[in-house]
Amino acid sequence: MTIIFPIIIILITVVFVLKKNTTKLSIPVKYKKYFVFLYCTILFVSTIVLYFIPKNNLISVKKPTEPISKVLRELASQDKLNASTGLTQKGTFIFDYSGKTLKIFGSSINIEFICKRKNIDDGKIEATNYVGDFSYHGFDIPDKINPPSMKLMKNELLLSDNKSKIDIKINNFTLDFTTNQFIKNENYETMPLFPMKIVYLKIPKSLQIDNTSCNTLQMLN
Amino acid sequence: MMYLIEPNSFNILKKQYFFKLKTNFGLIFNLILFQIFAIFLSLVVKMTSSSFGMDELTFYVSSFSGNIVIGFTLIWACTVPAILTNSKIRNIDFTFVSNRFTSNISNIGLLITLSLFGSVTACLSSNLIRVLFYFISNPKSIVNEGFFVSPQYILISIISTTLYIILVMSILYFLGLLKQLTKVFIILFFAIAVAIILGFKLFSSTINFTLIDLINKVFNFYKGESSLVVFAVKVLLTALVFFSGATLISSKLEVRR
Repeated sequence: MTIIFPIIIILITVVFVLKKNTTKLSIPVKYKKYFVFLYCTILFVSTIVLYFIPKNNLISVKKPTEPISKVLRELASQDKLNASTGLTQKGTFIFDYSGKTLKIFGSSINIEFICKRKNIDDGKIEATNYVGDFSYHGFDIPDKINPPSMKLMKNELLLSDNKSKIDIKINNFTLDFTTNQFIKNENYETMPLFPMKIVYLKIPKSLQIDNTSCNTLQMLN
Repeated sequence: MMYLIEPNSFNILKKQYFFKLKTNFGLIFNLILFQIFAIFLSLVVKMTSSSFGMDELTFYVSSFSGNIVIGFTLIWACTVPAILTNSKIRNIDFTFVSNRFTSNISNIGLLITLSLFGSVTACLSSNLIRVLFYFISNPKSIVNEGFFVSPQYILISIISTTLYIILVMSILYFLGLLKQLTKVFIILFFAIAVAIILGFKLFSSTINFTLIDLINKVFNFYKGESSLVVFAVKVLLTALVFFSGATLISSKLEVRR
């Protein structure tokens, strides 16, 4: 069926053009020549203009990188999350807390919690949000992803996924089929995965964590 | 025989070729109209459009290319041999000093020139689509990759599009002249094609063969070729067969047929 439909369209167009050719269109040849010359000039000028379009004005494409999740634990234990190129920091919360135990409630499986004990009991819980590299068609969008929201209520730290409703429109130009046939195309397309959200918690030395309500918590020490 | 100027085949050919190029200027004009329509269509119609939604993100990806313009140029290429092999147009040749051979060679020369012009304009119009799209839409929604076409890709596109057009034109030029010889030959031509397909179906029970399969196989013979040199050889050999066939057929025609 896929091949029959274009054939029918071609046949209809051919018949139409041949029929039209028998009834003479009364446009003087001189004007036809001007028209063809103008069209060719526009084509050549547009080809030159194309190379003067600044690349920075368009969406830049980058190849997918190694997922950060593989080295996440190691980076966190060395306190090097900020230095990682695969993560974008999305703000830090500091809570004063004097209790002995803390219960963590995480409402979403998309949020990864990494918890590290400090060497001192300073009575402060530091929570830093990160968003992992997330791209589609090489189009990076970590800046568009909202970090989870946090609330400290009595001895409970509540974290909920603050989902952002984002519509992203991408216009992609591909090479003509007559070129594509002869070149090996690098494929930048990656299937979109859920954006990786990380909450890095630094807690006082003697604080006990109850993680029964949070499945994605990793204790570093 | 007395004559003032000794007839020379090359000179006759040259004169016929330039005469035909001048008188068939309308074909170039038709091509431009086809391409302008295709350019507007390319800006409006997305080749592929997909949306992918997750919990919080929805992607709307639209793909654009110059394929529609090349497609319309190929459709135009189907009309050119039909017009050239029209008996009214062919009879003009008899006004001048010519024979069937010079008439055919000048026609083939014209077809090759037109296919080169068609392919250059079709490939450059792909750049025009990109520039127009850049100015009429939000540039921040256009992906950098694939937007800028390197000169060597333009050259590859021009060469391969020319070859595609020559292929289409050679087949239809052959069929156009076959039709002039006698309508019976056209019926015979299709009867042989059907007989081959039926023969395959009847005598080879292991091969599940349909007309669509045959078209696909022929199509893939050219479209599936990834080497430009091999593709060029395949197309030029096919075109040579059809153009030679057409020259042979026309030598069998009576004058003004």
